[in-house]
Amino acid sequence: MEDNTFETRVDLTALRDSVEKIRSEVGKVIVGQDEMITLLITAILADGHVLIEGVPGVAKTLTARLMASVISVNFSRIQFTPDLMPSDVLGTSVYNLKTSAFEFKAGPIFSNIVLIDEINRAPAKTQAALFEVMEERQVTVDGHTYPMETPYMVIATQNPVEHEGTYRLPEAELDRFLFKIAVQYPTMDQEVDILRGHQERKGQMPTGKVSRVLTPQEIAAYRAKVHEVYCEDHLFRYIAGIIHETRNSPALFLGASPRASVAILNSAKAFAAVSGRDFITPEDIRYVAIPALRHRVILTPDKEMEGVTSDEVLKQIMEKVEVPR
Amino acid sequence: MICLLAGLPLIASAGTTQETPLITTQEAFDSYRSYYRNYDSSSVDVRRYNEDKIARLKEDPELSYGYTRAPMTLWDAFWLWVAHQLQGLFKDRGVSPEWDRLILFVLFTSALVYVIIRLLKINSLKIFYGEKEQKPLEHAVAEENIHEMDFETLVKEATTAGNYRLAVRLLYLWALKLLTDANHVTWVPGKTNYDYLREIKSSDLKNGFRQLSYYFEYAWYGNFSVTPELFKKVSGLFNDWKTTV
Repeated sequence: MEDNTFETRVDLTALRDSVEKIRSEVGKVIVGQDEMITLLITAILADGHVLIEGVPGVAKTLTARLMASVISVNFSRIQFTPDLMPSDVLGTSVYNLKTSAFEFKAGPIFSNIVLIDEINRAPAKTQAALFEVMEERQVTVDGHTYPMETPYMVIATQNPVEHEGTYRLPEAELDRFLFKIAVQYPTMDQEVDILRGHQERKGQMPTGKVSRVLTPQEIAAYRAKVHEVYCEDHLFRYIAGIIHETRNSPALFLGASPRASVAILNSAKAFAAVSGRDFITPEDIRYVAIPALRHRVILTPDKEMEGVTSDEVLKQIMEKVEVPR
Repeated sequence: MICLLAGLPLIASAGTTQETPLITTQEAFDSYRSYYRNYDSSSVDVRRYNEDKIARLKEDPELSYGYTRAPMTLWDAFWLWVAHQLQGLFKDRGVSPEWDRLILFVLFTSALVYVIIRLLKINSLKIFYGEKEQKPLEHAVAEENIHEMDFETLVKEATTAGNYRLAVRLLYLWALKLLTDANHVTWVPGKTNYDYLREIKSSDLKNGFRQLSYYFEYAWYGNFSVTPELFKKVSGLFNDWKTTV
């Protein structure tokens, strides 16, 4: 329900228009997966990285590529493999015989949107190379620090850990992802629409169908608007209450970090802005909390053996924490 | 030819019955010397063991590898007794003494661990992963109980004080109480406004509550100021809606 009783204090018209354009462009190829697209847009506005998990063939990589295609920025893709080295990702210093000096050859991580495909197929040594760049938006090699351009976003895809040839990502790296989006299989009707879309494309690359609708300057302006979104004081306590409860839950071996609190606040603000509101509600917090927390908490071994998922535990926690009114 | 073949077993049996003479090492050595004397004239210096030295070494306690049985303690006697009892149990079933000891060890260790766990009253799984104890929630945001609040008085007090924002909030909580009392929703502190909205089945009730939720959210979470005119509008909406509950 919307009326003009309350005038919006932050002008979110352009932001909402851009969000609709992105939805429209990505929707030309991707059928369904509305939640994944909403969370990806939210992550872009909240300046966060995204980890997309799902079984093979549910359009994880395609969606990530499409999201990169609708934004007019540099895009690079790294296929993580078991023999990938940190220098293959970050870059390395090479000796130039003409100048008799070492020159830094930047790796594929130097881009605006970096798609890391199958991130959990590389061992911990290579994963560690991402720590600095994901948190501090910079890379330090041979004593030199190279800052990343803005916007900077890592979109990673992975198969579930129990699949063949995958490693569990380090907790420190998982904590650096704003969201972990779990992609599900499409419904029967959506599957039919996927087949129709494929038939209509006649072999054309799906990414060729979408247009660029967002510039880096627009992203910077929208992020500034998101920062202006208001959070009522009781809602800070509500977020802190959820995080605190993850640390006390007997079902969780590891609770969420303070970085997770900030992640929920930022993403709830971005989601409120996407919804056209300049303030956040408990509903916004509830919407972003599970994608923001599911990869940051670790279940106790007995719960894991029982087949309980982190999503189920988080839902139970949120039902216990009182919604401020 | 046939005669020759027929005679072969006889020849073979004659060979096997002949006994080989036994000779000592000294005889063998003498035989060797006598045989090769014609060909080897060099003198052989035969080395002998020093019997005294061997006797000294034999007396050295550090080189004594003999086994001397230690005196049996009370504990050893107990285990021996237990082993005998077990042997008595298993001897007719072909179980070796080594298995006796292993079974005994496993039984006693299990019993000891069980007694320790029972005495300390701990969850055995905690030993491996250190389960955390459940603590009560320390962060209840609203200290009010909607079932104990006199909303009519509270709304009057808020409007008299000019706090229309609070008055809108109180009207919303009042609406929630009415819905709960009429069993349209189940009051759970962890539910959001939209959870309650989804629970309501009647469309008229739902539409009115949706509007009240809208005003409450903007006034309370959005921190928008509420004018007396706006409050009058919300109050009228609430009073109309109240009759449908």
